[in-house]
Amino acid sequence: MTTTIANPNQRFETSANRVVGAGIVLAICIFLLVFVVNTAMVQEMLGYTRQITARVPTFFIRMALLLTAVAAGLFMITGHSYYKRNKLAVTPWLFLAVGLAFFMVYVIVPIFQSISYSFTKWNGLYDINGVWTGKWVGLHNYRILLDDPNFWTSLKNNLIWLVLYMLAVPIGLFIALFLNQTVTGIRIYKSLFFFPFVISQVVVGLIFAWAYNPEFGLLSEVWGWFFCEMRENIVGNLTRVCSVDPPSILGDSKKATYGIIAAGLWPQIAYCMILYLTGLNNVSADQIEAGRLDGAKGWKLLWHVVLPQLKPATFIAIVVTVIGALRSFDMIATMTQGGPFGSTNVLAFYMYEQAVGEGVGRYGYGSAIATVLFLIMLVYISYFLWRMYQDEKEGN
Amino acid sequence: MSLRFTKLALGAAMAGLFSGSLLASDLVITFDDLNPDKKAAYEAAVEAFKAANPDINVVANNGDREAHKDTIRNALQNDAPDVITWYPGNRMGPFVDAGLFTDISDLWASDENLSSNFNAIKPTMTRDGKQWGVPYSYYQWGVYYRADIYEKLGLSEPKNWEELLGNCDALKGAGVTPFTIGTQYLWTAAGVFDYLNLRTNGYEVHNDLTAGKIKYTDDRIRATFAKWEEMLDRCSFVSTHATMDWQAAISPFAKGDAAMYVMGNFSVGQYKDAGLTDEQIDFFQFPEITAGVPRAEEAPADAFFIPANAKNVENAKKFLSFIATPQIQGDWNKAIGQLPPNAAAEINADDKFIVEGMATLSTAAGLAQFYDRDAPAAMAKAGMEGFQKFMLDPSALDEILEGLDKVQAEVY
Amino acid sequence: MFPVPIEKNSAKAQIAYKLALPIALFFWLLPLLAIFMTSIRPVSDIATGNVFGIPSSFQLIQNYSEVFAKTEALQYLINTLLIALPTMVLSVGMACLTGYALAIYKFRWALPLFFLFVAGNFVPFQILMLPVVNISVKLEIMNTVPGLVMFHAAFQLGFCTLFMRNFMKALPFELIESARLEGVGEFQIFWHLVLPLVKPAIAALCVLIFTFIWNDFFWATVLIQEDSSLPITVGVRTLNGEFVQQWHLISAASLLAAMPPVIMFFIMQKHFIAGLTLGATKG
Repeated sequence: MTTTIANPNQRFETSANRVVGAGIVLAICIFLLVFVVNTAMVQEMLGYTRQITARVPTFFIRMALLLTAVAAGLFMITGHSYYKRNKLAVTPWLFLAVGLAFFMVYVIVPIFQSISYSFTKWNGLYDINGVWTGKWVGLHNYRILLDDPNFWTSLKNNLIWLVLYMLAVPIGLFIALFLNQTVTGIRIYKSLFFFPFVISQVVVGLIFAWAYNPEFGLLSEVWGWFFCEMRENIVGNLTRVCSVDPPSILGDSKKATYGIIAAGLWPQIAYCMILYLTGLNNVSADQIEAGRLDGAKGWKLLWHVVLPQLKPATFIAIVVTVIGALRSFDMIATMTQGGPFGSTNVLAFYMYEQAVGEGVGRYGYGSAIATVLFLIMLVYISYFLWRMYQDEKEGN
Repeated sequence: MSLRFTKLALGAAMAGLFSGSLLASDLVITFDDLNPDKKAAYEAAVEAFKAANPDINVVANNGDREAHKDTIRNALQNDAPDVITWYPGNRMGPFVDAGLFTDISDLWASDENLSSNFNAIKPTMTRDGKQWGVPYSYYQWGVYYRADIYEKLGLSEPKNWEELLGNCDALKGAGVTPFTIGTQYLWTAAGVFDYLNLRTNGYEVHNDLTAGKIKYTDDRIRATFAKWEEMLDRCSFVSTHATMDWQAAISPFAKGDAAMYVMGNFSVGQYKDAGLTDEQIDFFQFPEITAGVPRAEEAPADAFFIPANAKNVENAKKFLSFIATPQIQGDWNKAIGQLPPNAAAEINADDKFIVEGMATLSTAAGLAQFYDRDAPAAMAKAGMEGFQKFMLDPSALDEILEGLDKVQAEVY
Repeated sequence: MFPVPIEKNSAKAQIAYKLALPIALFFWLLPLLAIFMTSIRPVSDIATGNVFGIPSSFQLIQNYSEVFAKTEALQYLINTLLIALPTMVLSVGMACLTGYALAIYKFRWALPLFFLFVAGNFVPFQILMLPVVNISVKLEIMNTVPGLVMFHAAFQLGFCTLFMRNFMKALPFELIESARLEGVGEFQIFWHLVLPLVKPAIAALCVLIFTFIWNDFFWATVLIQEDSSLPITVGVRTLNGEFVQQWHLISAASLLAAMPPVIMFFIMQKHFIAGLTLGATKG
């Protein structure tokens, strides 16, 4: 398909001035970037004192240089006869260059770096000469991992998350069906039901942590109506005395994870709901009518006629729910920090805690945990890509 | 080589464009506390130093404390200041071991004030037989209690374990929970553990434990946990401690639902903010457990260090000598309500907690830095989780101790 | 379409449905309502246990202005904008380019590269964390707003490319073919022909990315510790430590943090939902 559509008037000559000029600009920019511009230089130049205040200006100078370099590079390449002759083969790479470089540096390469860290014992420090202070330990970290009860707790919690988070899919479907009517104001209802998804997980976590609080949360208030009374204590202050203590959901290692998941389900259900609402819009009316004529009703109709048509929505709902479950971090960080005593840890949070939390600095061990999490995720990623590949094949 | 030259030339040209030449003698200091009183005290000390050394161009930086814990790694390796704050004990270990701090043993030896007035704290500033920093402040830990409740029940400050347990019985009888604590962020539980261990086994054993020389399943450590179990049983803690941080735990204390709190002296201000007066609260040293064990105390210190990358080491040393003087140490700590590590410094005689703290620390047989500074961070994390778990479920003790042994074997 | 449209049901059922709607909504949003009520109460109400009832006095303005007066909340909000807006521009801008390359040109690497972007979009954050910290340190942008923006822009590029490429794939290819035949340059085609056609996609992506970044917590905690550069999500959590048990202020601050994406959502609802559900109706 890469046939060049040649225009008879097109000339394939190199514009020498343009190539040489842009080349010089490019070389200068790269030279400045690599050898000259750094925080110390900018500090001196702008008269800053040492410390990080000069980082942002340094960054902007660098970015300006980089952009100039990219522009010059583009100019240089498009001026060359090679480009003019192979336009359709080269152009996509020009479009891709910046984005791909970015993505490689920040996403793809780090994956492999992390995996390589997982074979080391390292606290994240370089010595004064910039020499790495870690050492290679082979599979040692993984062996320790197998023997670490906290790791198994985290893994188990990840599984609980995966399983229970899936509830978001049917509940979301249920609410979508409930809302899939045309009465006045339904659009506002739909948006309000969707609302929790837009709120940051940190805020959701705070809201639920407060609701669960055994002293003055929503739950303990309700509890208080049944089991508690106010009494005066020894110094004459009113204090609450309960015949049965209110449940301390986040303080109890057996309940805390479920408490967090319940909080996490709230926005996730909203997400699944909106996916299904959109899916329901596209359900074919004819098929439903046909189903009805065949005598299908209620659950049967839902299961045999509607759900098959909602398959794309279900697929996406499951994918985002799985990813959401495995990424759970924000809620745990706001609600329990993995506590009590690590019982609500999941791999994502445990990794963070081991690697950088409170200066723990077990980079190698943390990377090993991250690698395990990555491998679990890879199963889903592969499945997703495989599905996409099937669609692409059909599409073309 | 030519590259280097070009770089210099370019840099110089650019620098020349924007600023005049720098003074010959600089000193860049990085401090890590933005709390208004702490910040003011630091700035006052810097001003005093400037006045005493007009030829030195001092640049004083300050940043957030929590952020500093992360940024210091970067600062020590890249653009290091000449003086930087950090914690002594094992917390300075990784940086010392990576060669990122300057050895200042010569300063400790040659400066008379340093060599004579800092004996109690010198061991915590020492690693591999060398000194690495100069402390500017520390504070005591102990038991803060509701004097009014004690008085109402006719109780007195306990001198030993039995008396403490007796007090607890009396408090429980009156419907008061003996101890408040908030273990959500774990470290508060370590304060209790440290004291139980220091009183049961003494400073040496405690130090060996945090240095990884004794296992957690050691009988001596088990004895500590046995005392703790006794404490949980007879001196119960507030039941919802796992969902409270240390400040939230003040609420039952202020309301009078709980009567005692094992805490550091920095908490006094918070008690007063919660509405308690000087008459309602008081302090006692954690009571004796094993008779005859010399009384060691918790006294976390803050200190200044010289990064190995420092450009003006002589000026940095001058500054460290300066902030070690009795005058500066006294003024500084009066301003922030803490204690001067310099034994010759003056303290604020109007603050009963400070007076009592000075008496407690200056007569202590040893000073611990607090569990999460004495033990390496990864060990401390696991240990403190174990303590919290133990407080919630004492029957899991064996499992906890064996788990800690595993971590210990890995971390050290 | 399903279930049976309510109009076809009995009048009773219709009324029941219309009654059920607000009741269901009330319970669904109960946590949010409760936190809102808390945020307009005086502190004394919470101490005396009046958590559900009518506030003893309405302190909407006092409480919210207290949050601004007592804390850096305003700075946090500004920081979040300084993080979210440039990220949005960068990642959506780059995605127009990458998406265009992957959708329009038929070269051998098109599909593998596309899958690379998609896969990268799904990886767990933790596998990137330590190397990204190291890169930021090396580039001397650790602990700064631009440092966070750079990472976010790169990471979001995965999702944006997925989105843009699929959107552009659905464009009529004949348009581009005929433009080429007329001798229009490749960059002109992109700029003058394709970009105007994908405006809806750009709008949808911008809304989504803005919301994602606004709500980001993990990367902000990892890459920024400096108080003066913190975004509101992390800021709110620090406030949680500062306002010990002053739940009226904590809830006010939380709602403040939640407000901008909510407003964004209501204004741009159509784009927002179109963006989220792009994949849900096809493929």
